[in-house]
Amino acid sequence: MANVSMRQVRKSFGATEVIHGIDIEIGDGEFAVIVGPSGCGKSTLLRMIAGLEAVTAGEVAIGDRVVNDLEPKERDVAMVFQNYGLYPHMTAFQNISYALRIARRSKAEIRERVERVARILGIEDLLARKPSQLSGGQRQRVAMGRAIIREPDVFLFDEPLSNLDAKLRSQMRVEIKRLHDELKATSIFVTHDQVEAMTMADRLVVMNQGVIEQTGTPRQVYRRPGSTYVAGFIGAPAMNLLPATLSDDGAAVEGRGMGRIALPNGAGPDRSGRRVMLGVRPEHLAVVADGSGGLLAARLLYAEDLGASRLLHCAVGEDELIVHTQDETGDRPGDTLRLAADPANLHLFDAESGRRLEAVDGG
Amino acid sequence: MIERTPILNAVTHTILGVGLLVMCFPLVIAFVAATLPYEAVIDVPMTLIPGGQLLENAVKAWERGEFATQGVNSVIMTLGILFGKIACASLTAFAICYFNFRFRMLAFWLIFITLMLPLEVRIVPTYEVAGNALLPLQQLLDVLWLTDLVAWLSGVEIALEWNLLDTYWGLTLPLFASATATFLFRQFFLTIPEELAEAAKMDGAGPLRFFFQILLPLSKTNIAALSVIMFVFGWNQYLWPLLITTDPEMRTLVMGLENLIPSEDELPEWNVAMAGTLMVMLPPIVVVLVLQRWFVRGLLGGEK
Ligand SMILES: Nc1ncnc2c1ncn2[C@@H]1O[C@H](COP(=O)(O)OP(=O)(O)O)[C@@H](O)[C@H]1O
Ligand SMILES: [Mg+2]
Repeated sequence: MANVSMRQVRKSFGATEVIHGIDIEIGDGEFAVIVGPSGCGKSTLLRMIAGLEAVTAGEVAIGDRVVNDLEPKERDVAMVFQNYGLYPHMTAFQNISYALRIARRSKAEIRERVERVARILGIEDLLARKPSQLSGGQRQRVAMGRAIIREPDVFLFDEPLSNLDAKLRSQMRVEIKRLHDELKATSIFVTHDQVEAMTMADRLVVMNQGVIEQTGTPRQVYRRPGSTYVAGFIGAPAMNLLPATLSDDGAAVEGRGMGRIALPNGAGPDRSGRRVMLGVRPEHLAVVADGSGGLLAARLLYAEDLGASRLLHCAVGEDELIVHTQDETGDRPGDTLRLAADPANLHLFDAESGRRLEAVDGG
Repeated sequence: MIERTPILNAVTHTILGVGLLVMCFPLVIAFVAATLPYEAVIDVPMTLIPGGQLLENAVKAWERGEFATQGVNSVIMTLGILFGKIACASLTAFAICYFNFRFRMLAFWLIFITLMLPLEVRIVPTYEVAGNALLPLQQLLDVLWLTDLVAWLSGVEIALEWNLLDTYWGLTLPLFASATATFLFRQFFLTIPEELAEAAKMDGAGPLRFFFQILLPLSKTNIAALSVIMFVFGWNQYLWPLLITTDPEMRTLVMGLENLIPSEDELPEWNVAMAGTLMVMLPPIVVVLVLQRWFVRGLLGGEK
């Protein structure tokens, strides 16, 4: 067991820098999820921890060892790959036991350990099969077995669920978490899927273009996104962001088609007149009766029925927003709706930098 | 392109048929001649109806051509070239595909352009090297004045010599390098997912273990296909063995055929010569027939 820390880690491929100085501290036994869009450098980061990619600058430490110059096998980490990386010519048993065989463990020990791992993963009956005779989910399990059997300090997962269908994916999500509760090894899980990230993480790390946008528990990140980027990335459907301007006293915002909206804590007079983005999540907006005040008026464009709830796509001036509601009122496209939100659920971001304006924190 | 026109069908079949005839006619003649007694084979025109003398002719050819010794030589040379080429090519391709060293692409292109340089082009310098395989090393030492230095320091004259003439090494070693095989291996290695190499690294496998336990087993079909090509190539070597061997004990079958061809002051026993030819042709044909399924699969590059 070990914690993993990265200090000012940078990575360049030739002249292009793709990781721009990253600091992370992942505690012993924590399940950390690194989430970000495709190409933001998640895999590169993970591979630097694994030792598959050299670190250009900075320091990677596992436990109290700096591992920059250690070979992958010396780092005591195991990795589950996106396409599983199973050896096609070996049976599941041979795949899982390969590391032990290289380490020259006794036959009896290997057999016993493989069987135990197979039992944990429910693949006892598949051990004699080759990868080509296994389904996607089964391959996934074998790949996990190959990682587990080494009893490593740290597990690394690089989008391991992205090749599975939706149902299997949610099932494996639960299973990986259960496994983590059982084994309690530090785990770093990379994904571009924010649902996976929200549901699995003890600690969420949101990445964008080679930098970390925000870290925190999923709840923290959801409640107080640190930037418009995070606000748009975490939560589905994404947070509504409307351009607005801070009033002269800094205690309210005004925007196109929305009138004056008072802020609970105000933003302070020094920020008056500043251009901002007002954020509010679709699920925090409610349709209220006409004349009962509310936040703003919006014209309904169309409604999507999800069964348990509905998504109302609305226009406010030239901007669009989405309301996620469980009301089943008979509104029609073209109707004007009054929308309300608890001021505590309003977020304010600087329009230029996209950073959260802390003084008006509602969360 | 799939066309369904009777005329075109007829034309293509005719072309195919003519091609087949042109290809097979000499073989048919050789076969028929090999089955005939001496009196029938010298008839003009020769009959095209096979006779019953195949076995006798073959036995005669076997003895006269010293096929026993030469057969062993041929097999040793062919297998030597085969293994040498595959070992050489797979290791070279491994280096080019999996190691990041300086001038990697240069190395690849240097190997690649030797595709255009068959043995015949470099046969004279190769012969000189074969006379003393350590000659290049010696010359390097000479150029670097190391020979003189050592002679001056210790009084010992460095004179490296490893003569390959009339040896199995001489028959095989100069033919080990193969751009074709290297290229085929490289193309195959490029199709192997990178994750496999990385998984092996994580599992603690070093480069050699990865090569022998993962890369080579996966290259099975590829190796089988190459073996077919290289077997035929090696078996059919003529010019090089002719050059490098003078000792009759070192001759190969293909060279030995020359002995069977009647010279002016002998009986023109073409039936025996043809029986010998058929026997010499047989091993490559058998190999191709037995391995053709693998051969096609390997070249198309698919498991299953
Ligand atoms: N071996 C490489 N050589 C050059 N560029 C690379 C290499 N690997 C990744 N990159 C670049 O680094 C960036 C991050 O890639 P990656 O870490 O794979 O992103 P992610 O896993 O988040 O999708 C991408 O722009 C990609 O093109
Ligand atoms: Mg990736």
